[in-house]
Amino acid sequence: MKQGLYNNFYRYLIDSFDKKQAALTYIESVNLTAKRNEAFSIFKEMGFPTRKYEEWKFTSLSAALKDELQLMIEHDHSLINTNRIHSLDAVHLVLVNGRFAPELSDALPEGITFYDTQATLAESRFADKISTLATEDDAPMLALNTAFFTEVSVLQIAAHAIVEKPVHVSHVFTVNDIAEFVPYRMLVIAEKHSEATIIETFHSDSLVHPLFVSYVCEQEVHESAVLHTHMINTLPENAYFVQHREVFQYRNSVLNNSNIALSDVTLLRNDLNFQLKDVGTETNLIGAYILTGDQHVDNHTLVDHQSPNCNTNEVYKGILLDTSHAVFNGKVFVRPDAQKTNAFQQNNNLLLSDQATVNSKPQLEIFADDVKCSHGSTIGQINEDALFYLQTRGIGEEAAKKLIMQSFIFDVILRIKIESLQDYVSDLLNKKLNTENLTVV
Amino acid sequence: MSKDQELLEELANSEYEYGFSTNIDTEILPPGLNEDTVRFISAKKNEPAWLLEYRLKALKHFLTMETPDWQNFNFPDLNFQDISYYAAPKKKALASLDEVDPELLETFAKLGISLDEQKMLSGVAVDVVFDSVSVGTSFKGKLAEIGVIFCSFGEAVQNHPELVKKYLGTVVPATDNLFAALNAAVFSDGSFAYIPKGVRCPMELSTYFRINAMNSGQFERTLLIADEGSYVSYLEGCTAPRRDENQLHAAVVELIAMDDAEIKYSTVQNWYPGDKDGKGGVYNFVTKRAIAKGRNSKISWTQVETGSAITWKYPSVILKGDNSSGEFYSVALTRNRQIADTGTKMIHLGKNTKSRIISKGISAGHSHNSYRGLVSIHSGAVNSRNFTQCDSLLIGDKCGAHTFPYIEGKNSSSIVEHEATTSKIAEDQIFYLNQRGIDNEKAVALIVSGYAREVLNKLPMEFAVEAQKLLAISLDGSVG
Repeated sequence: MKQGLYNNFYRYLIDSFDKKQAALTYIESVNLTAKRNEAFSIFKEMGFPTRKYEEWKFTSLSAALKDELQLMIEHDHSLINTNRIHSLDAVHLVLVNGRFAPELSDALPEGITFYDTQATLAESRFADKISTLATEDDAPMLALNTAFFTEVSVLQIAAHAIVEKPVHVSHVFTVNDIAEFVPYRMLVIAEKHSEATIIETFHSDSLVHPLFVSYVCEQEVHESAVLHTHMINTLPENAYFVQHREVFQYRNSVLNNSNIALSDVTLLRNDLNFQLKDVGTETNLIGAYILTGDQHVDNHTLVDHQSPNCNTNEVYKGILLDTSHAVFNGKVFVRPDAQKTNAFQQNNNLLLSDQATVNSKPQLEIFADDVKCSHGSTIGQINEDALFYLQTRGIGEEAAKKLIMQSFIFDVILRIKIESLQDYVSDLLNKKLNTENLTVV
Repeated sequence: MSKDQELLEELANSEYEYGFSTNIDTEILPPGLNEDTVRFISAKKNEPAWLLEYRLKALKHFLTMETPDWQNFNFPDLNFQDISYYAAPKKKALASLDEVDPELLETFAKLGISLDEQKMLSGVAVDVVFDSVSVGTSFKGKLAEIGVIFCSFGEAVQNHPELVKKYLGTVVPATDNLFAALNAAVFSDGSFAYIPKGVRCPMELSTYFRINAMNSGQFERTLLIADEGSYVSYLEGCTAPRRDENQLHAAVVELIAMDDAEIKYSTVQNWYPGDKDGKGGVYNFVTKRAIAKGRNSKISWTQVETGSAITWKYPSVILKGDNSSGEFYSVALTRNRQIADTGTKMIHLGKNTKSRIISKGISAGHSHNSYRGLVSIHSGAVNSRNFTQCDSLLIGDKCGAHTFPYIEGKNSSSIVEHEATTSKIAEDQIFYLNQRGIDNEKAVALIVSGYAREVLNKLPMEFAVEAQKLLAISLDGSVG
């Protein structure tokens, strides 16, 4: 049963697949080409997802998939804003439209290696791993990326390396005078007993023409490794960002992920999947979003407990204003062997406009008995008592409301352990709350 | 441990208590579904033309529909052409219960629901639906005095066609889903109740459904209307005889509450669940929906689901009237190979509407128990409130518990809360009770009964006893 969207952009992509393959500047392994062809046929068959797909029930891409979109070809980035976080003492790596820009990046410290597209494709151990973690069946947007990505990079943390300095991977997108589609991907491998922090920011200067980004990130966190990842979206209006992230966690590994959307991005869709492959893992997921105007943010998380004794903790909080729409779909899957699982999940929303919509679906699927799993989801408003309390202290109504909103989100931001990054995110929060067009009544 | 194992074995092998079959001559329509089937049923029941038309329209729609694929189990292999759509005990039109086939009465006695006894002891009016035709009603006179209409659906069509015509299919349209369409086309009989303005129904209205004839799907239709300011509590309970072939039960229940009216609908469902390998058992695919149409109206669903091979239903409330409220209390217990995919929908349309959902799932053996719910606060439903709690208890490591809650908020003055937990009976709880000299078996029963109490408390007394018994039978000593 065909339920996909087959629009002009779809037809454009179908027509340009062979041309794009022929124009590739790097030599691709036979395996990768085969995978691309397979992914292409999946996408060709399924088309773009529509709301008839359960996983896309509340997010429609039809407005984002403009007729005039084109695959990004060449880019000039001499004048680009690399979005350095000034207070943050980090190693800076810049990817412009997914392509590594060595002249804008810092040298890497010991224990961490970066491979750009050419180097990645030359190493068969990396090239063959692409799209083996994230598999395309039933995921047309992922298949689209696999078929069409041109840039791919690898970040590898060596075994036993403790990398103290955070690595800031700055994803920046050039502002062009046509509507562009940018599919690219990354592979992160944290080897045994390593520890590192990776901060990813997604940035572009203000856009006149739509920018549609499809980003896929595959990650392996090996035995006893600790990986802290942060995703901070600072994309402007007119940006459409669809991310698929597939993380494999092995024995006793720890993964922390924060997912911050305090920008003006028009549409953001995250599919964050965590597969707990071996015993004793820990996964902490936090997320924050404030949506204004016509913004649409959809966070799909899936934690797949495949082994015993794994813990997950998830907190996502968001505020909705104007005509925005937030979707949260948190799935926890506990397989028959995953005894002694602890999984907690929470999604809280402040819905402050009659025109805004929240769709929350915390989902548990449990096949083992010795588990403790819980989820909570709320949709509510600013607490009247808290507001009154602040007003009795001489704080005006609007300022009091903003203070409450700020503290609501700050609860999540506090869990970011790097102080300077926490400050940076707080600044984004304050900026979002203090824009002139944000009115709370 | 070995004792527990034994108990588990014993439990797993315990046969269905109510598994017997009554031999009464029934008039059965040969299997098959087409326009003639529908015309036959309609003619048999001497129905007016508009109802036949309604059925035919539903059939037409049914034939165009595909089987759903979103549910959390494999759609059973159902061939709608293999089902016989009409079965009625041959001896009809009995003046009193004394004329009822003694074998039938004996069946009821075996079930512990002897009509005479029930009439005398509990003061409950029972409208017994044995297969598809009502064979006995009681307390009718008493109810008629205060203007309450409580009769079989067929009688209602004959005696109160204006009411049936006005409300039939207004809550569950014939096009709603596959099984609602099927029901609308071929429904055989069912119950009808109308509570007039300002009347507080003095007794619990009650119906027992039984599936008896081989291969005859049962398609009940229940329509309950509570007019302004009235109150009614309705009980529905089921036990089915043992059967080796799967039986489909696709009922439709529609409840309508006008201004200030209150309807309380309680169900204890204990149909044959199949044997321990999942062979046989009833498919319980029911569409239940209520509309709180008037201001300050109230609907409450309570269900205890322990039977059926597959239970698939979502008793829902459309909160249309301002200040209306909806409640859903459910205990669903599955064991062996049973499947339950149940939950509710609360659609908030009116201002200041409130809903409360308490769902308790218990899974044992190889069974799977899903809660699927929707809470939707529309933009006009200002100051609305929802609270949802759905807990799952797992007994044994081969079973599953799943929750699929859909939560939707569309205005800035409503509050929605949802919480869910899944766990097994903790060893420290058992240990605590052991310390007090309570053995494992009793400890589990105690914990489960405490776990389900919040829901069982909502049941009318006589039902609560039966429900408690059902839970106890299924769960004694099943701690692993």
